[in-house]
Amino acid sequence: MNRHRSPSPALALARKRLAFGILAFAASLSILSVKLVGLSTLTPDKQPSTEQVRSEHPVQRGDIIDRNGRLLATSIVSRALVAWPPQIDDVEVVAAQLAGALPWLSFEEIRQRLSLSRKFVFVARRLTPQDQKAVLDLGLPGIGLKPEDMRIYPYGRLTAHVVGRTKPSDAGPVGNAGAEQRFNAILSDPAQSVQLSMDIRIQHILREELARAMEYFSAIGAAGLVLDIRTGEVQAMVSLPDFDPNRQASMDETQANRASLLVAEMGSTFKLLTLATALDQGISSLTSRFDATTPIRAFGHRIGDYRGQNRVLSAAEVIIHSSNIGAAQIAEKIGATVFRDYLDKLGLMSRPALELPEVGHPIVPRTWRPLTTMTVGFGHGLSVSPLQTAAAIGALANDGVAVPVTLLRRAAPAQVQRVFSPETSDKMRWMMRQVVLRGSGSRADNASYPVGGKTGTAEKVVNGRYDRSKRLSSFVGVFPIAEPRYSIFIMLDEPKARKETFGFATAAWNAVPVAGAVIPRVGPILNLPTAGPDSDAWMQDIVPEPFLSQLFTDGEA
Amino acid sequence: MSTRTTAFWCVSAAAMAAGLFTVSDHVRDHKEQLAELNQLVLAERERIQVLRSELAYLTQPQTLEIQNARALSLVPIEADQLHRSSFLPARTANAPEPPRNRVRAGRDGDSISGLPTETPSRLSFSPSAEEWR
Repeated sequence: MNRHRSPSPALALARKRLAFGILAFAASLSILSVKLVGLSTLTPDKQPSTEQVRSEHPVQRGDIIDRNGRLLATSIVSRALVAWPPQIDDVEVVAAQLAGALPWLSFEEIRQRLSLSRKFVFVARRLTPQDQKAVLDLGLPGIGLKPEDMRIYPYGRLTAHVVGRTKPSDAGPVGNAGAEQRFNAILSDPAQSVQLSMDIRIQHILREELARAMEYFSAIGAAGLVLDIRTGEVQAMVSLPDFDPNRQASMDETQANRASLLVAEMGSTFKLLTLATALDQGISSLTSRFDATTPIRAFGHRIGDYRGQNRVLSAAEVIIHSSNIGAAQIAEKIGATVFRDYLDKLGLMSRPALELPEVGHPIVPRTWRPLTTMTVGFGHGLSVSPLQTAAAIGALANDGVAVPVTLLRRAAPAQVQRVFSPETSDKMRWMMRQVVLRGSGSRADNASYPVGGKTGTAEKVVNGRYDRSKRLSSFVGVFPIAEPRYSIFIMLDEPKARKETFGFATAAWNAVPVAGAVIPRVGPILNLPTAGPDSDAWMQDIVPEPFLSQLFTDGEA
Repeated sequence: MSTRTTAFWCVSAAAMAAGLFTVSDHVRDHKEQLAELNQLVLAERERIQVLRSELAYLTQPQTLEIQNARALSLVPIEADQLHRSSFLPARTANAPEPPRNRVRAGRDGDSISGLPTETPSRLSFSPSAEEWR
C-alpha cells in the first residue's frame, strides 16, 4: 500500500507558485530594506560639516594689517544684482521696476543689460543691504543676488600707495598694485594675512604735514618717508597726489608713487655720501681745504655754487654751505672706482628689494667719465629714488651699516652690510647736526628730538635740459641724531616761492619745515626718549670745541 | 529551521531595523541642527568681518581728530611734556628734608584744598624745556 501519495499536479503547481511569490516578495523587501538602510545611513550630507565651517572663510582673500594690527585692507561679502535674460518675459517692465527700487541705477542702463543676448549678466555690483531687500521684495523671475567678495580699504587715500588695490576676476579679487599685488599669492589664501611695517599714526602725521606744505607752496606733488634705520622697516611712506582705492579703478601718471617709483637727481643731499666716502678712505678730513673761489671748468662744463662763498672752504664748510665746487673736488679725489663701489654698497646703483611692484630702477650713467664722478659728487648725473636716498643716509648714521629696506614688520634685519667705519659714521652725524645748527636745515630742529640732515634742491630735467623753474626740494634727516633711530625724507615737487619765503623756493624754506613739523609729533608715538639739557654734548667727543675754528674759517665757530 | 527560530530572527531583524531607523532619524535631526548652527556661525563671521571694517573706518586718524575737536578737545601729547627721571636735578647735601605733613581724614569746615600745602615741595622740574633750547 502506498501510504505516501504523491501530490496532485495542481497542488504541486500551486506550491511552486507560492514559493516563487514568497521569494519574489522577500527579494523585493530585501531590496527595499537595503535601499532604506542606505538612504537613512549612507546618504552623504550636503550641509557643510563643522570642520568645513571651522576652516571656511566668508571671503576669499586675506587681510593686510599695519604693525599694530590695524586693518588696512579686508574683504567683506557683498551681493551683486544678476539676471538670467532668457527667463525675463518683459524687459521694459522689469527694468522699470528695478530702476524704481534702485534709484541710483538708470532705467536705460538696466534695460541695456537685460537686453543682452546672454544666459547670465551682472546688472550692478556692491548692493547695500537696503538695495538687496528692495530687489528681493520685488520677487522678479530671472532676477537674483549673487554673493561676491568686496575688497575694502578702511583708510582709503592714507595707505593707497603702499597697500595698493585689486581688480575683480573670475577667481576673485586679484592684486594689481602695491602690497596687494606683491603679496597676491599669500593673500589669495583667506586664512593668511600680511603684516606691514608701517604705522598708521606716523603715516597720518606725515601725510597731513606734506599735504599742508604741498598746498601752501603750490607744489604739483610731494613724497615722504620715515624709516627705522636699524631694522630697515618703512614706518611711513606717503606720495601725493594720491587716490582712493575704494573708488578709483585706475590711476593716472601724476598719482604714481613718488617715494619709491620716481627716480631723480637728488642734488645736494648726495654731498653727505661724497664726504663720507672721502673720510672713510682717508682721502680727506673735516679740515681739508678746497678752493671754491671760482667756478670749476672741467671737460667743457662749468661747475658753480648756488650761493657761492667765493673762498677756500674746509670740507665741513663744503657741506654747511652746500658747495658744488667743493663736493666736485672731493669726488674727483675719491675717483670713479672707489666712489662707485661705495654707492653700490649703499644700494644706489641697483633696484632696491622693497616688497612693492612700484619701485624704480636708478638711472646710472652708461659711461662713467671723470666729469660724471664730479657731478655725482654733488648729486647730479645719477638718478635714484627718495627711498634709496633715505636708506643710504640712514646707513650713514646707523654706525655705517646698510640695512635692506622692507615693508614687512621685522624685529631685526635679515642681512646687513658695513659700508662706513663707526668713526666715519660719527663724523658724519656731527656733520649732519652742524647743517641743522648752522646751515640750511635749521627749521627741522626741535629741542626734544635733535635732528641732523641735509637739504637738496635739484632742477628737473625737461626735454633733456635742466629747467630752473622746476625744482625738486628735499630734506633727508636722521633723528634723534645723538642716538640715531629713524631717517626721514621730505620732498616737494615743483614748489613755488612765496612772499613769506622772501621769494625762495629752496628746500630750506619748504621741505625742511615739514620735517620740523613731523618729528616732534611722531617722537612721542615712536616712544623716543627726549633729549636732555646737554643733548649735543656727544659732539664734543667728535670735534672738541677748540678745533671748531679750524673747520669754520668764516668766523662762525 | 523551526518556525520559532524563524519568527525570532524576523522579529529581531524588524526590531533592529526599527532601531536603526530611529537612531538614524535622530542623527539626521541633529545634523540638521548642526548645519543650521554652522550656517549661523558663517553668517556671524561675515557680520564680524563687516564690523571690523567699520571699526577701522570709524577710527581713521582724521575721523578721530574731527570727533575729538567736536566733543573732547584733547590735544596731542607734546614732546615737552615728556621727561626722563635722570634729568631731575640731584638734591643737594644740605638741602632741608622735604616736609612730611600728615594727611588726616577730612572734617566739616575744611577747605577743599585742606591737605597740607603750606610748604611747597622742593621737587620741581627745572630747567624748563624752553631753557634747554
